[in-house]
Amino acid sequence: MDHSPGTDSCAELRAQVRELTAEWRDTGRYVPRSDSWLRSFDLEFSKELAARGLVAMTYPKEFGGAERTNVERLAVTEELLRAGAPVAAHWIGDRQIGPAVLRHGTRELREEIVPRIASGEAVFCLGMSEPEAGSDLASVRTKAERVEGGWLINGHKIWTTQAHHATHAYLLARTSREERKHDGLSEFILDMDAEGVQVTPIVDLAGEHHFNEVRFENVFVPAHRVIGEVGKGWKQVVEQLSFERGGAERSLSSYPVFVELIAEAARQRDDRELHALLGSLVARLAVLRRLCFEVASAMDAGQAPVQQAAALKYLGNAFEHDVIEALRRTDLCQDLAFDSTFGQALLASPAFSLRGGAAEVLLSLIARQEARS
Amino acid sequence: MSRFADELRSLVDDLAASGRPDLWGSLCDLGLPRVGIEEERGGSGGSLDDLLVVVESLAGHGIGVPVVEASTADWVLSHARRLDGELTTVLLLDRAPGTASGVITAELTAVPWARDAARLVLCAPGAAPLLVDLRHPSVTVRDVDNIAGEPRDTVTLTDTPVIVLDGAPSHEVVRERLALVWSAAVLGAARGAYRLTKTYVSEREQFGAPLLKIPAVSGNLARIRVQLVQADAALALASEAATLSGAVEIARITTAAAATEIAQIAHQLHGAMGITDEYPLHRLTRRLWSWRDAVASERRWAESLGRRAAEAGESGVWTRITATGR
Ligand SMILES: Cc1cc2nc3c(=O)[nH]c(=O)nc-3n(C[C@H](O)[C@H](O)[C@H](O)COP(=O)(O)OP(=O)(O)OC[C@H]3O[C@@H](n4cnc5c(N)ncnc54)[C@H](O)[C@@H]3O)c2cc1C
Repeated sequence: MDHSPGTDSCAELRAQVRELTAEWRDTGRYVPRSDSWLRSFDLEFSKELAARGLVAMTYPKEFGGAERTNVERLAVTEELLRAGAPVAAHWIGDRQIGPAVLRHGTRELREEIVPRIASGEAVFCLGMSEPEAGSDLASVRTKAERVEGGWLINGHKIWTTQAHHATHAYLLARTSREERKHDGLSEFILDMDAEGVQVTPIVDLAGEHHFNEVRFENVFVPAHRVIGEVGKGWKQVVEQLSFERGGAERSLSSYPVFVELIAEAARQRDDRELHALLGSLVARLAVLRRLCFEVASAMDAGQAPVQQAAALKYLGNAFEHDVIEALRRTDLCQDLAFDSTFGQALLASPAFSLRGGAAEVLLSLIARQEARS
Repeated sequence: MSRFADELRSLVDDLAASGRPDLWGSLCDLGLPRVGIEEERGGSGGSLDDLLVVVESLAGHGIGVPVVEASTADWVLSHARRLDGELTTVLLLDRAPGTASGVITAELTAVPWARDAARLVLCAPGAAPLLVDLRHPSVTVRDVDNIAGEPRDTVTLTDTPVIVLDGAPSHEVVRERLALVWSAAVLGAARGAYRLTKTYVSEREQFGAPLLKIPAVSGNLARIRVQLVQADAALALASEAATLSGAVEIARITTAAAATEIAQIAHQLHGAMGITDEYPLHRLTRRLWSWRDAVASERRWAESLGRRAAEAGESGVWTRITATGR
């Protein structure tokens, strides 16, 4: 089956995003920055995108979506990242939670949650990581116990991006103790304003507050808020991670620096070294885009390309780092002002190859696949 | 992607496994070097993608045959309706040689397979390609091998008659095609090195278990895989995206970078075994080192891509790499 949408529709979508971001930027409603998908939070902008059908693009129309392909969605997310637009408010819900609920949620859950992601009302944070369970996600300890009409949650999550703005949390919790730690895990959606949820800021090395600790003390979650099958959450999480890892945001976090690098190479006409460096980065970016396209196409074909997404994230994060290092070949790196493009990107950079799965862990995931194949 | 990829691959695999002494003769009998040339022009039909599959598969076996040169030279000749049964090789020049009154005098270095070839196609910028009869008495060939042990001879022409190949593709077009076919060859050899390495670390035991059980070893194997993923994507991009200018440069840069990393890791994971003459790894890695910079170096491709990117500016670069919708 051919899932590829016409080039025209992608070009049209790109033009639409360019027009919107230019308007917001030129009227000073946002300042482009590196890492905007994690750091630049603007609910109004997300709602504006939603109103134009640029959020929830792949979701069914009956749940507020636009029934477009992942390839078309990719065109939109790429343009948003390129523009350094403030997209953090809807990014996680749109990318990951909507598709997960659509795949595995009950009808009731879909009706409740998905349209609110599509309209930009529901803002999601991801409750996966725990202090004792970073890369070893399956060792989460947060507990969900069955009670009358639902579940009672107790536990502690960490590094939860945008929890302080979120209306909803996705939560990975243990619903039973099994011999294999991958069994007995379940996925939930809970309201951030529920009684017993406590959010504490964690300030990062740049002095910014975007991630948090979240504690759950006897938080009640109604029964229908389980995503998929109780106790079989692991398989779903792994699938979901291909949505989390396989997007353009894993290559374009430092794109604003790349923009400066191109301009500098144009000024330094005789610097052949710099041109060669730029050329090899352009080549890598073009190939990364191709890989994003392949992952999006696989998703359109109904697959969850776990390994491919891991390889893409690994390569993309290396590119993001190398773009920043490349700028040090020029005098632009002298501008280390706190809100300079270079300074901001550099301070954000240690996170690139950690969040969403550390580089070493992605490599070992690929290695395990090698051992099996 | 080639529709006949699987068939072509198994055909090449069978030939490689047969251990025939005259493998090149068999390949020619089957018309494989003329895949990608229209039948009306004397070729075997099929697309350029099909040819890339043939080249990649052959390279994966570490087989040294003049397939890149012959297939490109024949393709040039086919446009001038001058195909015949003899081995023709090809050389790109940076500058047009003087060809007053239909003869040429020049010393050409690193001419691939000159000692075996009957004819040579010479391509220089701004002029139609030329055809030289390498068996003409005015031609001398001195044997020189590259580090892979493949012929890269020195050819001296003294008032040697040449034929102008009217109707043949320009220097730039031939250069692009040659670069793309070399990219496929590099990818093939890289894949071959990966396969050998994977087998080796799965079978060789140390500390009571296969090497692959050691995390540092499996992590390095994964790094090879990641390089292959990139090189595959680059080649897919170049062979599909006719509209993406620079796609061939991208393929060349990406496969060259992959070749470098893969050759290094493959030797590391093989330990001392990989540097013996007896073990086949060097047939692949020596080719990776020779081929990654063939036609022009990775550095040169990168420089020209970078210069054009700087001229185009961010929006030019972005528009170009997103032009295909991909
Ligand atoms: C900016 C940012 C935002 C984040 N947002 C969220 C969020 O919203 N929600 C959420 O749930 N999580 C979030 N995270 C957490 C993130 O996903 C984790 O940081 C990540 O999974 C790694 O866990 P860790 O930091 O505890 O490192 P650890 O697991 O403690 O690992 C430390 C180091 O050891 C290496 N290591 C660990 N195990 C292995 C192994 N088996 N083999 C080889 N090397 C290994 C790792 O690669 C790493 O380099 C965020 C992180 C960052 C930096």
